[in-house]
Amino acid sequence: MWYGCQMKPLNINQALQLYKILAPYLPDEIDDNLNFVGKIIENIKISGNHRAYVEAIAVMADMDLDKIMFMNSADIVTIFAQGLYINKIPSLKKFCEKVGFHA
Amino acid sequence: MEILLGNNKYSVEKVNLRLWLELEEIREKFIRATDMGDTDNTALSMLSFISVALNISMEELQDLPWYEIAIAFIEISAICIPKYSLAMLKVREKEKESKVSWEYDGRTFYLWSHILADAYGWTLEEISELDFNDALALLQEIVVNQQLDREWEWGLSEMAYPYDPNIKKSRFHPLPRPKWMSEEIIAKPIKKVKMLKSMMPVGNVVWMPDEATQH
Repeated sequence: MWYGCQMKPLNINQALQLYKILAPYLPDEIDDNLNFVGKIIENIKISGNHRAYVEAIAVMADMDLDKIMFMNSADIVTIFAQGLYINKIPSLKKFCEKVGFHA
Repeated sequence: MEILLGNNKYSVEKVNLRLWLELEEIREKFIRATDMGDTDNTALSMLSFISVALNISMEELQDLPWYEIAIAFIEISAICIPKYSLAMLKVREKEKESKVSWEYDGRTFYLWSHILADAYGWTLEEISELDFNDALALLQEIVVNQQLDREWEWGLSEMAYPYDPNIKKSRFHPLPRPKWMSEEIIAKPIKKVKMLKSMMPVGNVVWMPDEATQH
């Protein structure tokens, strides 16, 4: 069970770092927030680059990579989904595309 | 216009020329940073943009949620879009590789102030307080007038009529105009031409599906 502190929305610098990490795995279509999160996890699994998953959590939860590696896998997924939800990842994608931010 | 940041509301009443130029300079840095995917400079330029526009410190903005910063950035950018579709702004000259030795950051305001002051005799403070839309429109008028005056003087000088040895005559060469002052090329619509039946291809003609439905 994850007993971590409540996650806060990221500031602009951290949000852009998160976008850079997740950009290759973000689906093109945003139909539903829950599906969107599920698709990201699936894309990361397919790519085999699980480090991106852990790095994204480290940015969103402000935790060390080592600490995350020893956490319960169910908690990791919860933090990941929660982080993406709190940080409005579909809106972040739209914003970065609109301003032409090259990840 | 009111902008909500954190628990505070800020209003942007009017963007004067000086503020607009400062914001444009920051926006140029933002564009360069986004093109390179530089997170630090992108974030810094966004915060700087909002800080200058709303006259609040960067420290107050640094820890706000990213979406509030993004919304504020977009809203302030929208206010800074020129009202008039000026030719001077539409056509961008290719950036020269080497800058002149007297170029420096923040020069644009003094360059434009010099042009406006020269034309109308205004002080720096009066020019600073001009609405940026008015300033842009006036600048275009001044520059157009200067070009037309130069063309007139050019037409009266020998340099406009160089000798052409091929035709053994002097020919008029107009003074070149900046790209944005060139005549707009409006593409003429292609006329439909009727073909004689006798000129049409004979034999079994295979039509593409769209053409088949038309014929």
